[in-house]
Amino acid sequence: MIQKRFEELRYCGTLPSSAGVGLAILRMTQREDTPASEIANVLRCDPALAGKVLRLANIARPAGAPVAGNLERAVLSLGASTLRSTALSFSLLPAGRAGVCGHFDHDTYWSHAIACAEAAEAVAREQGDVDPGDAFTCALLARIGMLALATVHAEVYERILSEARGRAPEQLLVEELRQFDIQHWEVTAAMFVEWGLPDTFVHAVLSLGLPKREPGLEDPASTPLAQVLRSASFVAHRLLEGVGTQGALGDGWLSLLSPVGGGWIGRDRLVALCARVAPTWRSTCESLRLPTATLGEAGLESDDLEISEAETHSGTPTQTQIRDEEADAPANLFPDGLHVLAVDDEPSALRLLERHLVAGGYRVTTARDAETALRVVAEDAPHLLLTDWLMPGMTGGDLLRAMRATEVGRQVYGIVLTARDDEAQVVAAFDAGADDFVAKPYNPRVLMARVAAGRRMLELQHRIRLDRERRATQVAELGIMSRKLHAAAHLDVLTGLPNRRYAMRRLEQEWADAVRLDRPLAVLVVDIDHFKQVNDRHGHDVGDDVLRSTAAMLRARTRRADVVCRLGGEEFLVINVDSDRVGAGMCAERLRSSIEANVVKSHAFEGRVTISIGLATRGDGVSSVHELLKAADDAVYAAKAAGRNTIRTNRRWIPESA
Amino acid sequence: MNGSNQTGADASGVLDMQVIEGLRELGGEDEPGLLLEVIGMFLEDAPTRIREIEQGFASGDIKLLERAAHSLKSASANVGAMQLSSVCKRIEEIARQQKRDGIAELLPESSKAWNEASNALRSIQG
Repeated sequence: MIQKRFEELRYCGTLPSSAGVGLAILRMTQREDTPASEIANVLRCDPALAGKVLRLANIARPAGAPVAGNLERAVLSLGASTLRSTALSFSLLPAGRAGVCGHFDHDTYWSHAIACAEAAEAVAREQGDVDPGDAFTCALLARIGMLALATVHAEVYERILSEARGRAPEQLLVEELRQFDIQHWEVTAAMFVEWGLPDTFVHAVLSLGLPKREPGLEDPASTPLAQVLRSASFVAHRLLEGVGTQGALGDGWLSLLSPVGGGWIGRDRLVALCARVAPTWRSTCESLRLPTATLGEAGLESDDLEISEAETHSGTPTQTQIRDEEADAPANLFPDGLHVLAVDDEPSALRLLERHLVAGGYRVTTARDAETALRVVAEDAPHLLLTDWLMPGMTGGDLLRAMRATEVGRQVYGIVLTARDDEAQVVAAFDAGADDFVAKPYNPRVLMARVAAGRRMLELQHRIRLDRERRATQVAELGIMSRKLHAAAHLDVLTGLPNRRYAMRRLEQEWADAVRLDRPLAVLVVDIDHFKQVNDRHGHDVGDDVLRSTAAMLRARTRRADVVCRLGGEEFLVINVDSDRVGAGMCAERLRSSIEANVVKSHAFEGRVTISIGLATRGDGVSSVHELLKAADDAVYAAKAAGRNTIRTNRRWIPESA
Repeated sequence: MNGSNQTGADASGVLDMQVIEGLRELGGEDEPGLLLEVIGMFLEDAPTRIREIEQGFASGDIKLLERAAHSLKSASANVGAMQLSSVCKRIEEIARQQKRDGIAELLPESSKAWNEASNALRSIQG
């Protein structure tokens, strides 16, 4: 049935299809014994694909490692499964991007697919029961069915998608079935069959399209790979939350995610995975000019820490570091020297070009025809191309045009040697994508000046790109790390509240803000009454439970803007931002009465505790943070002296009925 | 232009010795063999171009004619064979207009210029 519907789909429109090279790579990588050189040879037939393979191989390298230019090496380093997915997806990508279905955001679709793939690979690595390479490929292509439907039934699908936006994903499947008699998971499965992908892929995507089971129930059709896909969707969704508003593509994913079977990896692990997957996903997307979320958005943060306010300050060291690296960057832009590709069919002319360039300190590769030059571009990614215009076979213009169609070739600075008296040639050269031209016969000094100008332009571009990449990965990586360290250093492990160190820093900031904005500021020092007796009588475990319960109550009964910290022992600090004596007094009384009423239940204890509170405000002779804390300390002492379970201020007593 | 002491009497009359000296300088201490290498390349490649010019003319393949003349024009200029370069330039210009008129008269001229230039260059090779 699915097969029949799929056949119909195939005949009524243009399904996204793998180009010849993509398919050849697919077949070759399915046989493990295909030598890398053979694959590299096939890749050479498709400069765009070859460029992407090189690009991917280079992205996968550790930072600072030299740029790989050799296709065979790239093939080996990427491995069969990545090559397979690259061949498939990137021969689909160009066709898929210029879609006609308005509501279908192709760029976000591919960005999501890449996020899924990276995440699936990471999940599979963690789980161990699915091959990471398989997970990558399957996740990358899992929703190709949507792309197919959007391509074949542009208008209808556009309407369905816009209607399904914001609704449960099942709604979309129901609509697809109603309109096309086939839903996108089934289309994907059919395409997988056609492309000769493994049965496990087909079963996994089919099981994603089955009706959802009750949470916690074992789903008989679910496979380990399907579980990996679900987990990956969760990660991808989190990563993409900052991108666009493709409701139908993202929102529903979370509801597909029920903890079924043994494959469930746990939400916390997935949140952590987001942070790990993000840099790879970003750089891949960036190289393909696909959107990624802006930095520091929800997807990357662990939302389990109370301390998120402190995070805003963690950006500073990161930026400093970027600036430091910028300072010494120019010397390292082209560590092996600027690589120039010189092309001329006339050997002595080529030899002279080479000599001029070598004498000028450049690294030179020569080619006697455009075909050879293209291969050098794909393999070695030279920085600058210096080509003669009139050559047998492909001209310099053909070379430039072919080169500009590839990812790697677009980065190359192209200078054309033109005939002195031929303006039409100059115009044609710029049309073909040249950056500059030099008329022949050239004056060597002028030629070298033009090459040097090209070098400066490349340095600029390179620096901008490096800067962007660096900022993306550094902010993602360092940001997360410093946030975690920051949080660890500022968190009280027992209660989960910020600790004294954080409290003091935060109070300094709030004090400065209050002074600057001329706002009131109040603090409450909260001390649990007779806590030592609780500890002595019932043991430290019960004491800990009392502390936890009190902390939770303090947090629950204060405003969001208020900061609650544990100073140590049984002492807490509440910072009432923008509160005067009256407001803080009401807050204090609310806390006092809540704690008084709160029953602490512990394994060996059930009872209430009370608190004494000292309130102090800025002004009234209090002119520093130190004085503010001293005043609050004095007040809490006074409250203790007055019989406990009461509130005192640094000025006058606040009645309990206030 | 008086480089006869270094390069022989034959060469100085036919070749632009400034170009030859320029090549010698360009090679410098790094590549003292550059001058002879480039001359060798030219002497090896040029006969093919001459043949292509003649073939292109005979068969009416104007494109081949133009490309070969263009190539030989710059190659000969690179080794200081200015006479040959200038004949090639005239041939190329005619060919670019998709014509053959006047090329017949230029062919003996180019062949004469080639003979002189190649002899002069060989004398530099020693």
